Amino acid sequence: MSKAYFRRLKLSIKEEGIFGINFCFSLLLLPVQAIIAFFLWTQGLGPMQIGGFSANRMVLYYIFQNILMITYQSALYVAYEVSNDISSGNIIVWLFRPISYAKLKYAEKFGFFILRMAVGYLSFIIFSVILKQNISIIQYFLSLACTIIGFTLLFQIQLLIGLLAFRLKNVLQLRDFVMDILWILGGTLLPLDFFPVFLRDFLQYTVIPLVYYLPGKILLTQLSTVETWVIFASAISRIVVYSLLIKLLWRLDSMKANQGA
Amino acid sequence: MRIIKWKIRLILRYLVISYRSKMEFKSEFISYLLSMVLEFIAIVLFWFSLKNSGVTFEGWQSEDIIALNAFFLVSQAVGIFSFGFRDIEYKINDGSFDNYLARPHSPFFLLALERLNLIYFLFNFVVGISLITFLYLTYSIQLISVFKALFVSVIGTVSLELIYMSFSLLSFRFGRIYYARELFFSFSKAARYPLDIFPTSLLRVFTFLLPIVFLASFPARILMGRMSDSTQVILLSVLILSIQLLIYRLLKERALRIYSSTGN
Repeated sequence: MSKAYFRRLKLSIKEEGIFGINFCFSLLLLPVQAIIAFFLWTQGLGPMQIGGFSANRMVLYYIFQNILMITYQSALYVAYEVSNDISSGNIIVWLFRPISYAKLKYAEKFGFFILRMAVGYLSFIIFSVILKQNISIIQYFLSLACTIIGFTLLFQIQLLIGLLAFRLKNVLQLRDFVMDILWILGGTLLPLDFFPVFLRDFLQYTVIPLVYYLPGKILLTQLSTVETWVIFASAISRIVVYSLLIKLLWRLDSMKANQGA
Repeated sequence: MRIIKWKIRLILRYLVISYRSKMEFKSEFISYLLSMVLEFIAIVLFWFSLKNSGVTFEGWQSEDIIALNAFFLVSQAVGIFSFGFRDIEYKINDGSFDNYLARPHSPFFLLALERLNLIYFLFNFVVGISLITFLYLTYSIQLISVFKALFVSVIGTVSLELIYMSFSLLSFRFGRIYYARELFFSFSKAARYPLDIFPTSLLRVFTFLLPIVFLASFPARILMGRMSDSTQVILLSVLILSIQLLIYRLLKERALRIYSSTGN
């Protein structure tokens, strides 16, 4: 059965190749962002360092955030697509097939993600060479693993919101609100190290920093081994909890669609 | 005079339509309002966190930053009037641009009116003006400075939007210009920061080629009395607007000449 998911993943990679021009264009915007960030942070921070971020590291941080935005793009449509499948009744088609709808959707989105991630990291290496910033191989690998976890969490959040369409009339407003919060407090606006202490303390107990902030933090600052393992343990435990929630919601609500059919 | 009255009436009608369509579903309206509030919170959080962390920009105090953001919001509100030009290339390519030609008004005027967003305009405009009023009441600012700064911000925004509209008109000649336009205008994101952080060469680009210094940075300096010769800035902004208006008119006429309608 896993062959079906793998084939879907391969198909997504091929599909991504067809629309490569959109992706290349998104990468073209990176130098513009880099120029703006460079002057902003060299003026603003000067020789200072905040939370391990110097001016040049801040430039790289924003470039990396833009890369994450591009690589995570496929996961951002999940809530819309799932809620659409539920509202239109197309979900019934998947109920009668010997596959898991959630896993198939994940394989599809992961295919788009993986290609973008590879090219995104390559472009990041170019920027880090231009800005003369040394980043160790271990940091790259840890960040890569954290990015995959971040993507999975984002996918699960979107899927959970999408599945709520079994119960709610319009889930897209909820999705927009959740995504706004994730972007504002999740590190795309500023690294969390700049936020007031009370906000930082609160956010560390939530899923919010795991998607955008921590892959960048791991890549650009030196975290201790204990800190890194705590981050990974917390992220993986959340993935497990969300998987169980998705299963539960699917079991409870897909029955209704079945009866309706 | 009759034509102006007619156009004003048309604008008002489109504003009413925009308001009613946004209010059609109450929950969607609340969600939209919430997203704008969150956007404003993001701006506050960004600058507050920077100040809290000791990040400063030379010559820019807290009140200057408030002024910068106030004018940026006003500029965002005014800029909504050219939003309709965003999708012009799709309308040309699928032939739906013909619909605008059949009406007794300028097709570009109708195109701009169609995408008016009254709620977005009101929110940004009201918040921006409230912040300027707060600064006026708190600091010893002359009323004339308020008007001068607002004038520069509005004129600068209209100039920038005219460039956006002119760039969009190139789609009549080249078909697809979306990516090139997005790339060119991605620099305009810098308008939300104090622009003297950029070197002189780039600042010249942001003054003459992509006039984003007039949106928020210069108005904030004028408002807070930190600019010795504001008249020069006002004259420069008017000059740039006149040039952009001329270019836009020329391109508009050429665009309509190139366009061969699918209907005839």
